[in-house]
Amino acid sequence: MSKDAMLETSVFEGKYLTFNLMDEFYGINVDRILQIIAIPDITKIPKTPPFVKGVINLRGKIIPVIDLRLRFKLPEQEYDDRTSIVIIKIKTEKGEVFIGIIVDKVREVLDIHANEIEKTPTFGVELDTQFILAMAKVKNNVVTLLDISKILTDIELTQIKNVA
Amino acid sequence: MLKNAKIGVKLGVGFGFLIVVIAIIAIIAISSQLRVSERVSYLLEVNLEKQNHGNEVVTQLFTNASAYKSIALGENIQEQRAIIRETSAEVASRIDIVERLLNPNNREEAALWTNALNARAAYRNVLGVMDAYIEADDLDSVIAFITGEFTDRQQDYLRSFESFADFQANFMQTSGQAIESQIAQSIMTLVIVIVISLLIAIIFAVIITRMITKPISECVDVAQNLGHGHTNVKIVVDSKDETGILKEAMRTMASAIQGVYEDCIFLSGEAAAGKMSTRLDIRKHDNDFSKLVAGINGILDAIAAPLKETMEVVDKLANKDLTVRVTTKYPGDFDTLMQNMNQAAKTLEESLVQVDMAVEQITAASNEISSGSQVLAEATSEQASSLEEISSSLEEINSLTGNNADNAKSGLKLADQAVMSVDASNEAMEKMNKAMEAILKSSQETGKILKNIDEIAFQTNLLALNAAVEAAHAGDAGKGFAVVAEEVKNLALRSAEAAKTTNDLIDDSTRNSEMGARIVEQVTKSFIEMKEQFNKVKSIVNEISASSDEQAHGVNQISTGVNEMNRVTQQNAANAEESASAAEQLTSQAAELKSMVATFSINKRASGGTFRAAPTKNLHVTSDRRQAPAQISHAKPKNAYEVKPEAMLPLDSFDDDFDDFK
Repeated sequence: MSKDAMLETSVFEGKYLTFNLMDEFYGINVDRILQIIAIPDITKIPKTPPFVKGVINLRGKIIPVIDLRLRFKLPEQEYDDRTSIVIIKIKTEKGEVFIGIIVDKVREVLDIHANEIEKTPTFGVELDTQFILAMAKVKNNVVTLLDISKILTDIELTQIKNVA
Repeated sequence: MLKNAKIGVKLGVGFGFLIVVIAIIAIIAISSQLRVSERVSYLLEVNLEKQNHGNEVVTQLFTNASAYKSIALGENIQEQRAIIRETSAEVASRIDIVERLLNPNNREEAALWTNALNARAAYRNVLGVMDAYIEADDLDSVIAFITGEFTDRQQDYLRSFESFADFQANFMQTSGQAIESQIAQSIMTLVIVIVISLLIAIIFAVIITRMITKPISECVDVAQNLGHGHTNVKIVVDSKDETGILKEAMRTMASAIQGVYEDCIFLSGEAAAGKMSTRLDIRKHDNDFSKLVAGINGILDAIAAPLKETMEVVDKLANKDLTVRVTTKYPGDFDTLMQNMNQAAKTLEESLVQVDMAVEQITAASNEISSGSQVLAEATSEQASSLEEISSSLEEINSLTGNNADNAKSGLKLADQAVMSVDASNEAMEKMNKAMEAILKSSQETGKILKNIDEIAFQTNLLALNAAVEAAHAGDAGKGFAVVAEEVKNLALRSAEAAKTTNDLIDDSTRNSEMGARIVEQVTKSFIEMKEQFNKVKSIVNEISASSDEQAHGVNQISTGVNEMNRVTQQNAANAEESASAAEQLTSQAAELKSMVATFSINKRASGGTFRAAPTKNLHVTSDRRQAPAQISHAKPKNAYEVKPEAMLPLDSFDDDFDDFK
């Protein structure tokens, strides 16, 4: 790897929480993460997009929950005893927003170094890849590092915030 | 003395006594009746009349006195004086009548009457004074006089006549009582007389009746006895009246009958004792009885002569001379008797000729029988030995059958035990099934626990991750903590792994348990089938047992039959022996018979042609023992002697048939 590339990728160096969706590995920077919980009872909210599953009560705080599979247009799967919710915080102009993300299975907290990171490949067509930070190769697996603040559009965020 | 009187006298005495008694009773009754009526009429005509007149005098006196009192009170004097005159005349006439009726013998009555007449005279004196006052029209004196002396005299007069009337009444009352007692006395007398007369009359009636009826009933008894054939009757003549005469006649009749009866008995006894020459004395009997006795003597004469000749002929027959015959001719049944006698002698002679011939035949036949019996005895002993063999075979079969039955019973017991074992196994299988179910259940429980462990491991993992996140947030300060979190996470993962492995193992064990349950089910099914089969085996063994029993029963029956056969065979053997000895005896007896027949003097020509020979083939005895019984049964005399005269053989052909015996 060239030094430039190293410089470019070193931006993304840090600790990531890895998890699975459809047997694929994804990573979220731990700075964004507030807490990881097992899936509790979810209160459904009407008139919301399908990926918004509802809200949960986390120690007296109402937090909206979204299903990442649905957000990524992956086939829906019934929740099992490995399904977990990762609570993240997103900074907007109007302040911090807490959102719960439903994932298939949380894996571990990894230190990902710059030499393990590659830039997001271009797929030749114009795809919406702005929520991907980079790709990391860890232990023969490819981990997609997500920019979690880009997962939702501003409008969506606003909607969700209103819900909360 | 009355006993010997005639019946007419007896009846006359009885009835005469009765007539006298009735006359006495009538006289007594009539005389007492007459006395009573006399006294009653006297009372009615005399005493009652006197009383009535006395009372009438008193009534007239009252009228007279009241007339004077009316004059004193100033009423019509002339009218009153007329009344006074009338009463005085009336009183005078009454007194006249009483005077006439007075009983001169009754002093009390006379005294009372004198007293009354004196009282009347005194009263009349007073009346004279009173009339003088009336004539003088001195009514004051009249009144004074009336209240004074007049009343006293009037009272005396009144009382004297009243006492006379009372006397009459008393006299009538006492007389009535006397009459009543007299009537009662006469009734009593009558009753006594009647009772005594009745008693005497009854005694007379009984005595006389008995005197007449007793001898008559005795005669009736005698006549009945004679009628019923009892000639030994006793008649006692104890009176001389008509009944005595009747009894005497009865006695004569009875003695005549008894004489005839005794003679008949005597003669029949003599005849029964064989003394045919005894006869009865005719002179002892009279008239028809003597004719009867003569007839009886005649009967004996008629019997005695043929009897004598018969005796002679029979005597010769007894001395074995069968040629003798009766030659004299006798009347009626005696002729038949003599002819029968001759026939008997003839038949006897013929029979003896036949016997002579038959004896020869018998001798030959008995020899045949002897040899036949011997053959039969041999055959019987063979049969007996065969039967013994059968018997021993049967015993063997019987013991085998017994073994069979015993084996069947042991088989049955084993089958029962097998069934019981199967039942026990079934129970054990059930228990096993339950145990497996328990294993399954505890496996499930363990699975739940494992799930909990897994959950805990998951939660621990999450905690470890959270710790790692927190450590990351802390930067360099959290590095050590991150290592611990890593370790915790690893432990959690290992826990989860172990739980998973354990779960897999439990899943295996569950599957194995289920498989075991299925196998147990199959085994149970097999056991049930096995039980059914054992039950079938049991029923089959039972059938075998029952069949064995039946077989044993059958063998027993056969055994009984064979024993019976054995017995019969023994009997047969004995019979054959007996028959052989009998045949021998028969031979010797035939010889004896022949020698006996030879002692008789008989005319063989006289009966030779009519000899009735039995068909000889019926007496034929073969030595073939299978046919022997049938042949012997044909030889029964029943068939042999039922040959009709037409079937009789002439003498020459008879001789030919005789050859068959040789």
